[in-house]
Amino acid sequence: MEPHEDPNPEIPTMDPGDHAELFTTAFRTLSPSVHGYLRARGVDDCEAVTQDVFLSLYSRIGSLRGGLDGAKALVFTIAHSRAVDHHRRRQRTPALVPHEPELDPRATPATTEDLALGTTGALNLLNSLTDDHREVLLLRVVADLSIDQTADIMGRSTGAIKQLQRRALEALRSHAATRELSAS
Amino acid sequence: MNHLNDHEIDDHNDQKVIDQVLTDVDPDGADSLRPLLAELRTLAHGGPVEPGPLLEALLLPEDRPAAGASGAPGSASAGSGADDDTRAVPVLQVLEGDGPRRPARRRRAAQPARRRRPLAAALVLTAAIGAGTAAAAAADEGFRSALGDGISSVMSVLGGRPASAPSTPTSPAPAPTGASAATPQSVPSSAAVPNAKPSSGARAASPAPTGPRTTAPGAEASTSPEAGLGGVPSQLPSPNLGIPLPPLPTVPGSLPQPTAPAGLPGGLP
Repeated sequence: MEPHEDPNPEIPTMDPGDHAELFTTAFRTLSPSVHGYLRARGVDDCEAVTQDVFLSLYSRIGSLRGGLDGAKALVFTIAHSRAVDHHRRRQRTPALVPHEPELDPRATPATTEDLALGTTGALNLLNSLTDDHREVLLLRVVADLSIDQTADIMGRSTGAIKQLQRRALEALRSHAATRELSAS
Repeated sequence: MNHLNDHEIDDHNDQKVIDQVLTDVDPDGADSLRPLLAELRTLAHGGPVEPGPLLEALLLPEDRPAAGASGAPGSASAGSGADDDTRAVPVLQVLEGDGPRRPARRRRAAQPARRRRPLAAALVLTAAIGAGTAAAAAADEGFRSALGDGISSVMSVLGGRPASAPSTPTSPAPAPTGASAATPQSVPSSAAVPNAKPSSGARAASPAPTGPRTTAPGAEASTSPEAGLGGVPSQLPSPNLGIPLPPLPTVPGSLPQPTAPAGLPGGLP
């Protein structure tokens, strides 16, 4: 068992009654990471979904416990659910979205330099992983959640999350090494 | 991976996050994974998300110290003073409605403005309708004349004169002609009667039931209403009512001849 880790020891405990301040702080502190998480999950219109996530947080903030840390866990739980819903909806009804070259992993680089830079991006690295590996890395690195919080969101045990994280890191390293070798 | 060196891990929090993820990883593997995770970490530092109108209404103003604009989570509770509470509560509770934490004093303070709103709307609506009605009435000449008559009648009542005085020039116009037409007919018939009954001097000696029998045949048709009343000329209707006077009944005896009132317009010569 891994010793208890505090994901963000700098965050003090906030007054649970001050919901307005907590909500404002949560939005201005966590909205960039939520936006990045949703973007990495391939959700369309990340800004709109980010706002939807925080509106959902607002409706539940009355029962929130744990201050900003609890709000962070709840926000990414909602964001995870939105991403899952988005992909399920996309499987049922394929949506037509405008093409964004920087987000398209199938883009053919025009030059060798583009090839070297384009294949080493964070999104490209994540796209080379499986869904579970990508999810655990996003929740641990981008969302800055603990093992327990990640396990709660993904619906797995803490041991499974640790194993999944270890394998995700190995896969990430192997893909990065493979791409570095292929680029050179 | 030279481009990864361009991304400086200057945020101490990012370094802590990466260290926590690499806790169980061997040091050799951690060194190779650290720049990759640092690049992944850049996804958490994207551009600020602009709140929409609905979300912006829920947020506190931008200049608050607890806004977290500096990115330091530790400043979250810096502005939790009493002054901040007074500014924070309305933003949430106006949207939540009457929540359990809303003070009753604030509810009472907010209610008069809501109550005055329908009253002000009703006053404005009434004033608009009144102005429109007044304009339409001022344009109608008949209304103005009726209004003038009404005012003059009110003024006459207040001044002690009869209320119908202003209307006398128009309404009793037929009355003088009726009275003047009836009087010459009654005078000859009544003049013939005293010759027939010279002995009946007193009015009390001729009771009402006997009146029709003693009346001359020429005046028989015009005796019914006033004859039942005893034929008292003083109880005749006022000429001001404008009703033509019927011919006076012929009463046996020495009744004085009725004379037309002196106040009749266009009176007899």
